Amino acid sequence: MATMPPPPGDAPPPPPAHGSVPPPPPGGQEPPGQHPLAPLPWEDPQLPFFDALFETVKLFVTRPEDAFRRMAPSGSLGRPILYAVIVGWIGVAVSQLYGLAMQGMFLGFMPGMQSMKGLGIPFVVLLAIIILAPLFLVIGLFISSLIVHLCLMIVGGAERGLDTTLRVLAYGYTAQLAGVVPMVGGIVSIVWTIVLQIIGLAEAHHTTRGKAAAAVLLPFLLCCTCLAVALFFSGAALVSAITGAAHS
Amino acid sequence: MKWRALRSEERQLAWIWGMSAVSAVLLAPLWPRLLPLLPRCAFHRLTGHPCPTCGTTRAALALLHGHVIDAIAFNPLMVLLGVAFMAGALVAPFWALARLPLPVIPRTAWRPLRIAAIVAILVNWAYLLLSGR
Repeated sequence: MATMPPPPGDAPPPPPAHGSVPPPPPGGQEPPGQHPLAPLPWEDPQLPFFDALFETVKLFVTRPEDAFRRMAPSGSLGRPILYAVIVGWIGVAVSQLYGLAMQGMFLGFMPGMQSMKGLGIPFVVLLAIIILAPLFLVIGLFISSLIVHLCLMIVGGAERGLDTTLRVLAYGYTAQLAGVVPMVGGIVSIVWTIVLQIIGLAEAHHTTRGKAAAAVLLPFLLCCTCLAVALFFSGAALVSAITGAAHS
Repeated sequence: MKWRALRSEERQLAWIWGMSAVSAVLLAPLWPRLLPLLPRCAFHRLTGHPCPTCGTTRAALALLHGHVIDAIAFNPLMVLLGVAFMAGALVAPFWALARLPLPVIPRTAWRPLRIAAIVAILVNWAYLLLSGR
């Protein structure tokens, strides 16, 4: 069970130790410097699963800098990858369902567009995408981590290993939740992901935001194809592939 | 050269690397279908010239069909990186399984390596611009 944080003004808190420090008060403002090494709720094995997930998402949404500072820069990759799969999967699943709903509405309101009905995504394909998404999310996470880490090495900001970069990108998947916002969710998710990655890399690798930004944006500046190849492994590309196969 | 023991998270990375490569190979039949669906290079569309990674997809498809020379002609650097990725994916899981040590690259070597990477990107880009691919 989770322990409660000490009330302010009482005896000084116990020395911080990874895995044993109480989580931040839910929804409350943590006084700066009080728990500098408190672990991320998701990385605290003592917290209940859904509480840890919810608190971690909230932390990355409201205080990303603090969240990345509390992230363990090393350790088992299981938890960060599981986090990425859960939040990424929610984003993919909800955006796919929105797509299906919007497609139905669009065709319903515009009878002249009925001829385009065949261009939609069949329900079975949509189901396959939702089921296979976790695999593609993990592959996408690894390949994007490799690319970003390589760029971080080129700009001289890789103070830690590839595993640290992967952890940052995994928690950066929080931005995939923007996919639940209809219409603009996709673009919001991309911009938010970039912002989270820059903050996270700077914090985790103890490098400057400039170098972190250069590493994250270098693939965009260098190429479009490289990005497209990375997207190959994403759910979006899977949609197109399976849809293409279904129509041939 | 100094060597150090593999950390547990590096062993995990090795397995993920292997799994990613295996998945990419298993999905190979889908690749040709993806080609027309991938976004066109915005740099090429805007300037009429290839970007540093133009030809990566075509090179990957050529490699898939065993046309190594064609693949190298499309984008030599990306073929090199692709081959390194696949070779690493083959080696890494066994390396992790055998718990072999990793070489420690001294910090003094980072600067020349960084410069070499930038030069490789620029030379590759120059080749693409000159060959008009």
